[in-house]
Amino acid sequence: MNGEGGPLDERLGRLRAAVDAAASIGLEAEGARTRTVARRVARRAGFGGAVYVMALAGGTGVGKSSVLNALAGEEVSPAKSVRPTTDAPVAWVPADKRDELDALLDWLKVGSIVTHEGRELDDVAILDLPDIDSVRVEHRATVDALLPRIDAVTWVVDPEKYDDHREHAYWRSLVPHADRLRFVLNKADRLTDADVKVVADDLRARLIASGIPRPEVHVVSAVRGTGIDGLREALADAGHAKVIIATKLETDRAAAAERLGRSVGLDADEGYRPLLAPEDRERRTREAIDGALELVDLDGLARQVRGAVMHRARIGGGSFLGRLIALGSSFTGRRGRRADPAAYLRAWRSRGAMGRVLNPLRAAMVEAAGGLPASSRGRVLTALGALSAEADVARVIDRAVAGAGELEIPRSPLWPVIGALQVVVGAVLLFAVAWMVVLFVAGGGVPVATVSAPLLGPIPMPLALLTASVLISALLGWILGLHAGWIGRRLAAGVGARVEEAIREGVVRDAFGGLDRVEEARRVIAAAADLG
Amino acid sequence: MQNRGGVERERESGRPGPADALGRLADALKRRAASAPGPDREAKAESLRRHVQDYLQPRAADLDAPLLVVILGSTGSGKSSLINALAGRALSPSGVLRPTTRKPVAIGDRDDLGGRMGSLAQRTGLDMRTGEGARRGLVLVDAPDFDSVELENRDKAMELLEVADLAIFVTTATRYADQVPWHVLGRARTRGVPLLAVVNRLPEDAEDADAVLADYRALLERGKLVDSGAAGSLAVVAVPEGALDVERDALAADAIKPIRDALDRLVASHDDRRALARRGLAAALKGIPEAVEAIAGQVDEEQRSVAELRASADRAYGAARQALDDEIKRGTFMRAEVLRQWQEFIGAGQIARFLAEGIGKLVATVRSLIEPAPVAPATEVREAAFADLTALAVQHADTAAQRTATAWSGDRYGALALAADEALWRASPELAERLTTDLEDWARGIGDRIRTLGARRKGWAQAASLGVNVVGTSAVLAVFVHTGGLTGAEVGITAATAVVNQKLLEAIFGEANVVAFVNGARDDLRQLLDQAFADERARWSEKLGATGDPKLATELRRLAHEVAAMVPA
Ligand SMILES: Nc1nc2c(ncn2[C@@H]2O[C@H](COP(=O)(O)OP(=O)(O)OP(=O)(O)O)[C@@H](O)[C@H]2O)c(=O)[nH]1
Ligand SMILES: Nc1nc2c(ncn2[C@@H]2O[C@H](COP(=O)(O)OP(=O)(O)OP(=O)(O)O)[C@@H](O)[C@H]2O)c(=O)[nH]1
Ligand SMILES: [Mg+2]
Ligand SMILES: [Mg+2]
Repeated sequence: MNGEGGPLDERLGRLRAAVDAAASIGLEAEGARTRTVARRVARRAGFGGAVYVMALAGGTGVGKSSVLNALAGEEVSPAKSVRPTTDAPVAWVPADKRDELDALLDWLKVGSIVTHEGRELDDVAILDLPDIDSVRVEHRATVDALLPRIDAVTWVVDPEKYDDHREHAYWRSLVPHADRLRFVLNKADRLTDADVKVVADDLRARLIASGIPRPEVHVVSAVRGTGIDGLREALADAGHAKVIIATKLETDRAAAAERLGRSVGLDADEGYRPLLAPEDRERRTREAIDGALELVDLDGLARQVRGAVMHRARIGGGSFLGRLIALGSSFTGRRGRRADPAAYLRAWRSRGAMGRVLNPLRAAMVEAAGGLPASSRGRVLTALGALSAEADVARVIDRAVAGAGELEIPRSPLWPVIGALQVVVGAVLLFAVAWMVVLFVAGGGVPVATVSAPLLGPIPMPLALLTASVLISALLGWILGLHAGWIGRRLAAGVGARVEEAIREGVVRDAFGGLDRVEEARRVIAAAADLG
Repeated sequence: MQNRGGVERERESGRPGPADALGRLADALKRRAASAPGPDREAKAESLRRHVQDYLQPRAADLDAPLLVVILGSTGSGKSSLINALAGRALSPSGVLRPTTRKPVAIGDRDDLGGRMGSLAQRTGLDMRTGEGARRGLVLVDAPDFDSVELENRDKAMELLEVADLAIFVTTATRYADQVPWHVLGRARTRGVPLLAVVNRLPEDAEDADAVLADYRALLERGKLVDSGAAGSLAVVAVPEGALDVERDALAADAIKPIRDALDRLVASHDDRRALARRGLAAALKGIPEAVEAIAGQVDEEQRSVAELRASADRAYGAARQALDDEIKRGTFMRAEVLRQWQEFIGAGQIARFLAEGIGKLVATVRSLIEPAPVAPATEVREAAFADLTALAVQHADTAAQRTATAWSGDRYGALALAADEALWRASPELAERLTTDLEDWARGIGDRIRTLGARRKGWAQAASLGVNVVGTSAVLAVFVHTGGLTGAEVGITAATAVVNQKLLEAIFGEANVVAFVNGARDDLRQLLDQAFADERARWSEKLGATGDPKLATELRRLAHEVAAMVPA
């Protein structure tokens, strides 16, 4: 049983993995249906392949039992004129295979078994089934439950029922098994030879229209025995039981996988394709990043960084007055508002609507879910994270912001030097002021110039000192500001770049986490459905 | 005035008489068909409406109108062969290809083919024949089948069943226990239509034939159809295999003699015809409550689902609207970048001068002399503010839509409604544009109020120099941006902008006026958003339409009982 996708066991293993994958994205019910098929296939494979099971199916009164009896040449299953006749499946099996078929027939819940010694049909067990269309609805239930376990089907019709809606509906469900499906047009004796041909052609045309490309139709009359030998020969030449069983099981497996694939929007003709086209994903990601950067506000962050550096510089190297103001701003909260970059980053939530990030992401999710059948859309959308997107996005930005690194505000060795100089200058300034006060008091209110004081050129010494210290203090302040501004700008640029990078990475990696999980599951399902 | 007759009083009070009950029932069924979820339920209501409108109404109006006799049965059961036998000529071709008859064929007297036959012909493609084989007072119809792969045939057959005065039900020895014909017979029973029964193609073996007939009779008994016979208890006419009249493309005349005799008796006696019509009508009227109940019961069941669907939509949209309000109250949904732009403008020259007092005013005046007056970013900032609010509103409308859609997709009717409109999975595509327009209108309203308020204030001349646009944007921001009592880095720029705005507005309008003004604008905004969300929510209600309308179920049941109480004249 080695097909192109490896031995059946392996392919069933992939199918089971696909079931788990489906369940992981909310499609438990679809998965359960698939699991049922996987179990059934494994079970049937376990019974061995010496004999295959062929069932006679059809509406009541078309002559299923009569056809079996004609094949057998004896009454295997009673055929009567009251409808419906057959209540439970009857098996007609080669006598020498009776024992090895025991477990299989038990699984098929066939209680009534008739054996035969014929050599011709020695690798097939033929079942006569109850009808599918009578008022005894339990008959149909029996067939519905049994047919999926059957290896090949011979569908019996008669000139009255060959175009019934009931039959056609059933045939459509058997289309994947068309290779192991055969049709018998019974009661040919009720038509003229010309009409037999007309009806048989019409039946063939109808079957082709129903999706069975090359229908095999046997025209027989069970009561007259015409056409029965041809049917028997066709059954005997059907091929090896092993092959029939293997292709049947492979068809079941493939159909189940394909069906599961359809529930996640996989098309057998197209192969695997992501729900969201890469260029759409890229575009939406870009929009989300832009939105996130707007919330984080890199411009504002840079201002905060520069403010913080300036504050620290003022504390370390400001003039007396400058330090006083800087200290004061810590108390009034002004520093908190203007110069606390870490707090500013953390508070990104208060700088705009989350919708700026969320709306493009959710638009992408709905676009992605648009590729799914309506029945699974809601559940997969939940798996995509549409409903939890708000919290997820917040987490992504929080993490990016936290990961942007420590916001250590640097100190420069230059600042204490400037600070020390400012102290000296301050002292000189105080001295000059004091000197002038003394002179003024000693002079009894006479203008300074008239009192003797050392002159520096034409200017009295205290005045010169005062002017110089004020100028130097201002110059030092200017240098400090220039230096701190330079450091601040450099730091701000670095921090800004780091935050931006972290946001970009975070959004690219995490914002579509749900979609990535769904795609992962779809890839597992695609592998089970042999879609590269 | 006091002495008016009863009938007149009834007319005066606007209450229609009992005969109108049929018309109102037909109308209620029409409404039901229009609002039923899914084609099956729609067809069920529509088919009963046809019965009321095309059978009950005309028959109640005139018991003497010709009787419609419809031959019903599976494909290949021999309906066409039977009508040919009854007409005595090849009227409707029989054939070996299934199904053969696609258009019903009627035969009747020329005078009898008017009236309701016309509309029936239009809908079912009825081929009306007259001449040889026509029977006065009877219109005989060969219906298409109801069980072949051609589903249109079934629709036509079922429609004919709904309007028949007498049905001849044909089956075969192979078919008689099929499930589909028994569904049809089940409807024939609740409909109360008088029946004749034929079993065709009985086995030659007499014992086998008797066994089949006995079995069929037992099934008819179990199906409570024995009392539906056109004349006394339902007799089964047996036609053996091969009883054919090849020349006329018909069943053998002697085999179907009991049927021909029954029809000829009706032709002969006006009283018999009238009695049959009355009997059929009475039974049909009695059958209405059961038929209506089958529909009203569905409405009840839908109603339970629909109530839950509505509730889940209400919950989702209520929560989303609340969340939106909370965020607006928090006042932090605007981008810092925009606020900074506004603050920088206000901090500069002109406006600062306007706001400041004492020394500050002097400084600002000097600055305004040196620096050129900045261009007011009023329009950009307002538009950006609206874009921010719109993004926020869309975000919450999206959340509500996805919550509702997820809840609905798990429900049968919800899934049906969702499947009809893919766009329901998101906020409506027009929402953003609509909000932008609404917000512009709202801003215009603010502008108007600023002008009226300003006309009464002496500071207005100054304000006017700033431009209504600037003051307007300031007012918009006063509604959008506030700190909700928070301080610190979180609300840095927000707080600053809020404060400056407040100052500007107070300087123009006075403190008391500003509070009232901003509150008024906020109320208008709330209303605007309420309306937008109500419209978003309404998309869902539209999808449900009148599905599960409890009033409709009550009305249907009431009318059914009124109809059942009618007694044919
Ligand atoms: N004329 C004719 N009659 C047939 C032929 N085959 C079967 N019959 C008759 O058709 C009737 C039904 O035959 P069965 O074999 O019991 O039909 P079945 O399909 O098994 O019916 P259920 O068991 O009810 O599902 C019997 O009366 C048969 O005699 C045939 O080839 N020609
Ligand atoms: N051999 C035989 N053929 C019969 C007998 N009764 C009917 N038929 C054939 O059965 C076929 C179907 O008969 P119709 O009268 O066309 O059946 P119908 O009910 O009108 O079928 P639709 O038009 O398809 O709904 C025809 O070919 C008839 O000749 C019979 O007793 N013996
Ligand atoms: Mg049978
Ligand atoms: Mg016909």
